[in-house]
Amino acid sequence: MFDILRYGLDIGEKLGADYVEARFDDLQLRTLGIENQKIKETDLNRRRGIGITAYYKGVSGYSYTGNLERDAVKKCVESALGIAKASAEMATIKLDFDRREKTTKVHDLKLAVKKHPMDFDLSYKLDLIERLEQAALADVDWIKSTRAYYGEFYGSKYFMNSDGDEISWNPLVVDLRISVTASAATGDALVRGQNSKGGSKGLELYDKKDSTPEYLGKKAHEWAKEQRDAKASPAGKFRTLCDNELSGVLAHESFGHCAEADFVLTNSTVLINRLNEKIGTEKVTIIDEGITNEKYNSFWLPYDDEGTKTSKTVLVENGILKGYLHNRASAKILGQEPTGNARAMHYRFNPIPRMKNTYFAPGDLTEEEAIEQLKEGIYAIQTSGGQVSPTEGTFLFKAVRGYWIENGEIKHPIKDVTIKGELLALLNNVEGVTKDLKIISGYFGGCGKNAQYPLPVGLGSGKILFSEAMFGGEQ
Amino acid sequence: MGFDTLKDDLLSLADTGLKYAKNQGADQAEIYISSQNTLNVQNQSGMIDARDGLNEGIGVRLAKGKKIGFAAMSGMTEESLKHAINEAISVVKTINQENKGFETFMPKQKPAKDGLIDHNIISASSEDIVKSTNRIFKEAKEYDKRIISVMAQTQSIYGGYAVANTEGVSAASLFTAYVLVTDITAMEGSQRKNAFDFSVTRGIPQDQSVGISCAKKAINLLNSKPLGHTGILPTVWNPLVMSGFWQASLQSSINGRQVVEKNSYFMDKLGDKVGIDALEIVDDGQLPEGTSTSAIDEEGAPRHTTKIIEKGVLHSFLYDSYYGNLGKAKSTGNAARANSYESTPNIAPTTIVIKPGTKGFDEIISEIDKGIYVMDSVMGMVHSNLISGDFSCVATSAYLIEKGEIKHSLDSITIAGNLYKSYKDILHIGSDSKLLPNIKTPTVAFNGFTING
Repeated sequence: MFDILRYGLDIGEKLGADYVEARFDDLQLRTLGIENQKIKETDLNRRRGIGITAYYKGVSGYSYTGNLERDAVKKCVESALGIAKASAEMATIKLDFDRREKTTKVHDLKLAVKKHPMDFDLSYKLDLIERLEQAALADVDWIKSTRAYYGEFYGSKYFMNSDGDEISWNPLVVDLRISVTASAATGDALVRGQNSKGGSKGLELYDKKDSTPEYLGKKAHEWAKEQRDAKASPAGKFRTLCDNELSGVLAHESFGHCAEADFVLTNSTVLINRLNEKIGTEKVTIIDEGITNEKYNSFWLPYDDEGTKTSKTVLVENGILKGYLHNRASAKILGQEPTGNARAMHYRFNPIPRMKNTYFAPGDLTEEEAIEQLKEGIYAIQTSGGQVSPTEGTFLFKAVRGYWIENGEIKHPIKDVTIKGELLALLNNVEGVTKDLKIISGYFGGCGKNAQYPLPVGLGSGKILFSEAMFGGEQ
Repeated sequence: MGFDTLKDDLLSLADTGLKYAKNQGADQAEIYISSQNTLNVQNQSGMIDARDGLNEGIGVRLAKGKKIGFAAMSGMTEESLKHAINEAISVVKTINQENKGFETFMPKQKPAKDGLIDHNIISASSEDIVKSTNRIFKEAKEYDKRIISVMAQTQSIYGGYAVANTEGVSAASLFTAYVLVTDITAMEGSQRKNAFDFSVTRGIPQDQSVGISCAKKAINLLNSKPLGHTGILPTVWNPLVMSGFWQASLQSSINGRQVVEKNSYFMDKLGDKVGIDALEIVDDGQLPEGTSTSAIDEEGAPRHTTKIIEKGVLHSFLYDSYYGNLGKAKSTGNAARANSYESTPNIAPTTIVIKPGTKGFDEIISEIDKGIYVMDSVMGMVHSNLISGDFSCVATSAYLIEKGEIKHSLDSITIAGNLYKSYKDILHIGSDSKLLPNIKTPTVAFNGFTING
């Protein structure tokens, strides 16, 4: 594939482009779903194409094609350069960057896994979700519906640029997800339990004791059962403990997006001009990393879509804002090093600053200590989604479930837990983080920015103790 | 490949696919092929995102008996077509479970009419789109010194899709669309306020003042004050924020799949009074200027105009052929593919049209002694509980109404209520209808939501 990319680069440079990047993606996505014991989805989707970025006077133009013929690629390059030239005058932020001193030649980089989904047939994967659903159902009459899904994403990515870099690697993600809807013990309300496990792993992930379909389904069942008797979450301000998943989502959604350098350059984030300032308590350390320790279920991202090797980026260190998430141009403008955060969902998109695996570094508390220190308040667990405004720094998240804590002990389960507030206030309320860092990623969900959704990312945290957080709900 | 010959090109490749699928052993086949050109220019505070591309691809559903498989691949070539068919066949041959509700793919019917086509969109050059973006950007930027960040975006889109199946459907539809988006931040002291506006039209719109109107909104939001009130107040929702409200309240409740699967709040309320007398809602798949208007839906059924609520009474749900079959109803021409050729058909509205009332916006405001005016967007509406209808959202762009006048902007407030019960709590439906993607709605005023701020 490097041949056709080289062809595109040569044409672009010949036509007067200052710099050219060429990418080829051949990515396969499979979704299998059963709902209420019936097969709902057996979808396979292959995305194959070429994308060209042409730089002209500090402006980049992007064009793509699903056609791999030379003529189509030539047209694509002309188009990318044409649109860059047309836009050049309008640009007041110039996206120039320094050439690399050393070129990278990395071919066919892949994760060592025991059971690559490519080598396993459909029946094997259907069996996973059938077992998952059966475990969640567990033969009770109060479960109203179940959804069990399997997703896999793999393939190959090729990259070349005018610096002479040549990189190809093979992304991989698998994911299992279960959701249970149940009737509440009293009244006609419905409650939910959900569980998931995914990451850049082979299917051997689901052979591990705490990750088998049986275990994941059983947990979703237990949590739904507990929610049947849950009381509505109180509204107002409370001392709060957020579990690893919800805290990870806060790291990603409410902090991470605000740290994306394009938002900094365009004055669209509350973190602008705050570098080296204290933005949180000293318990707050936030990291964004492409390759983490393999004990975590993170997303494996060795290189970004500008060919930059991903680094371990310290964004916040003991409460001090240390950096942003960069592409090559934003790093140059802001006088920092590229961090390997230029990512495109696939060939139909240009790379923009996105996250890798974003997480709160672990602290020194145990869960028991955190609950005891909480004394009275809300323990919010898992999330079903949320929304954020990086410009204003405001956010809102729905937790899936939670507990009311009194006298440092769990009192009773609560439901309809909505946490909301302002990012900077929240980071200043962090009293402590537990030591059990979990990083998660997956095929379902993923990150959305502009039209690029869903992009696989990882996120994580220990459990975080906040001196105060705002909870909503009907009163 | 030209726009003029696009229909023929799509249909001819689809036909090749049907033959190949039969040869490979499929009992029934459905080939969906889509080709879409997008030219997009965005100026975010001087940083340019300029891109274009031709997104082509093929989605194939095959059946053997009642076993169904789906596969898709990008590219509009025989290679892509055959790859998708081979993958779909291998799925069908592997699965054991029959899809009991499946009878056939969409039976042949006469297509309806396509929406408006604007050839100016097809001939628009990247220079034209850049100019349009630049003008909107400048107008917004120069509106007021307190504007610290402007995003202006223009998109021109054109293309078509075809559906062919072994039941005799072989039809195609063409579309053009033009998108303008602005997102603006104003700042005074340490207060930041955000406003956004957009338009999606089938042709290049005459009115492109979206930059100025959005800038005005952002500036007006500055100097907000806390509400200092908890309790029930009347709320007035402008068309932009109302479109999100209708989408949230109708997406599950009138969706035939949710009715069949018993998740719809309205599932057993056909013929019941669900809203005030003045509430009239149709799904209009034939509104010429509607962005989802087309001759066929995305499984080949003719688009329709379907009455949803008439004089406050629930009239019907929206169906595709599969759930129509299961729900003992006919397809209403609402099959839609969320991600074009990459997705199987599901049920989605075309353009939901709310019948306008007689009162203008000012008149509605003038009748409210104390209430809230909600603009643009609210956070959390998309996470409403669609089964019960309970919602709790945060409005960052809201104003206090006092003694019939809009007073000042408010710090974030929380609005909570019930999406479905609210239809009976409508105070007024305005006369100021606005066409937005998938919704044409006027301003609406409600009573009965709990406000906290």
